[in-house]
Amino acid sequence: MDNWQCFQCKESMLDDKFPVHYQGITRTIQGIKCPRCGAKYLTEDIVVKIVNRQEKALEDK
Amino acid sequence: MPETFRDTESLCPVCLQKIPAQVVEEDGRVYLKKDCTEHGNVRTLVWRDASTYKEWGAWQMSFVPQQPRFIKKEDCPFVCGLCSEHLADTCSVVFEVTNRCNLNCPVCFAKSNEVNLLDPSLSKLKEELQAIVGNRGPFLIQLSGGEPTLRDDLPELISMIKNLGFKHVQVNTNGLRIAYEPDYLRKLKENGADVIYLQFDGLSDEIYRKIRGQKMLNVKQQAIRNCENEEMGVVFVVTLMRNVNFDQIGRLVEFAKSNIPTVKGLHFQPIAYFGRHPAPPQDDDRVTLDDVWKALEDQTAGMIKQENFVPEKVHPYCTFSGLFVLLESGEFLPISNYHRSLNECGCCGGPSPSEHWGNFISEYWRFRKDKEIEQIVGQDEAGSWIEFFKRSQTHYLTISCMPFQDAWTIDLNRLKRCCIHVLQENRLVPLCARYLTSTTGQRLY
Repeated sequence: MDNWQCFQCKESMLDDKFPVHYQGITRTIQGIKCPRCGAKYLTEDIVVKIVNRQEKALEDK
Repeated sequence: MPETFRDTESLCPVCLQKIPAQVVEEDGRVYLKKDCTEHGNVRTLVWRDASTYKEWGAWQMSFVPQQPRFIKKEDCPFVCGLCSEHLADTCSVVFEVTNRCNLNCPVCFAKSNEVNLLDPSLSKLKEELQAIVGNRGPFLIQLSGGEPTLRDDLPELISMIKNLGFKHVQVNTNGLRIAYEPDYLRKLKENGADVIYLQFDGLSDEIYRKIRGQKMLNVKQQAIRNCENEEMGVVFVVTLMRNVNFDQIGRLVEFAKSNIPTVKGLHFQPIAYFGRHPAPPQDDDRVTLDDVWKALEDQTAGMIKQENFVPEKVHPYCTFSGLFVLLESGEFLPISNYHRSLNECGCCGGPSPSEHWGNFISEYWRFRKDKEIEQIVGQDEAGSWIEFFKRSQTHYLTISCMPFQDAWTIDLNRLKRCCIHVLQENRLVPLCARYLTSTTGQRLY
């Protein structure tokens, strides 16, 4: 993921899949990770497309 | 010491005159009490466990229709249509497209087949819909009757309704024709039917003999298979009777669960004593809203819990609903939660409760293919949130309940909050008013 850099380490973030826990459910999600410090982020695209929809669905909103 | 929860108005079950009434607690139960000067006192059970009555009612909110048709208020419930005193907007419109039926059920609130009129023409039906489409529409449309599938032109009618802008059309049916004529079912779907609202009272022929007058289990199962083949969503609607199928609630949940994703919902309608029905009810015959959620918990060994259900905020005493996702493990994951929903104010913009409910039904009661969900969130591998999201949008069950009000239980405060309306002569009439009959069979409408 060349477009993102870790704010602290200035390293280019890498694509990664990692587990996310929510409402007692654990599943993997596509995100980005700093190869040096291990900080993990979700991109806006994933948040809008998946996280927001899943939150609404899981909380019956 | 009896406690009066509130004063209201009701009708005398004999003469249908409007009379004062009180909702009271006596011996831990909740009753509607009223006194007709001509026909005497009536006391009817409306809620089994008084300890939950007040808390459930605390949800109550009001939304006045944007375009009330009448200003009068003194004529409620005799001149409905809706008037400026009505406290809810329309969610779902019951549209009677025939009075004919291919059954003659001992229990039928529409009293179908008793007066055989010619079916209204498509153009007449279009006129009626056009009269309401601008009145805060489009709403959900329930094609009802009689048995709507007796009309050969039902596919054309559905297409016309969709072209008028109504986004959701459900077919309320006993399942006979769609069981025997899969091609007819296919035409319904191709023309825009969203869900088959299938009368489904239980899992034995004995139940159908008692409620429908004949064996029907095979017909119901064939109807479900045909819907599965057509990828048509099905909602089971269960007429619930204390001594007939009340003990079937848990089995019905299991059966519905085993037919996911075709079966989208399980909707309980405790018998209301209007139209054709057995002898006038005793309190022990009554099935109340809280009876049903307790039975759901008891008969599923706690798999489903009372806290999984939430009221509809305009008229909490008329309904509860819950949403459960079927996990890969075969377990239900409850999505709806009473305590969480209670903390949502629901008044800060967004849709009205009726609109919210309508949106929920139109989303969750129709069959959605994996591909449709993939187009939204894309494809992903096993164990991911995308996979789970897709499952939560295809493999689930809604469980809901709506006890109608009859001449004994009718509470005009509840009626004014009704959001299920029958289209009658270009007017929208609350369902319980439309079908209510007196002890002698006299109709209010």
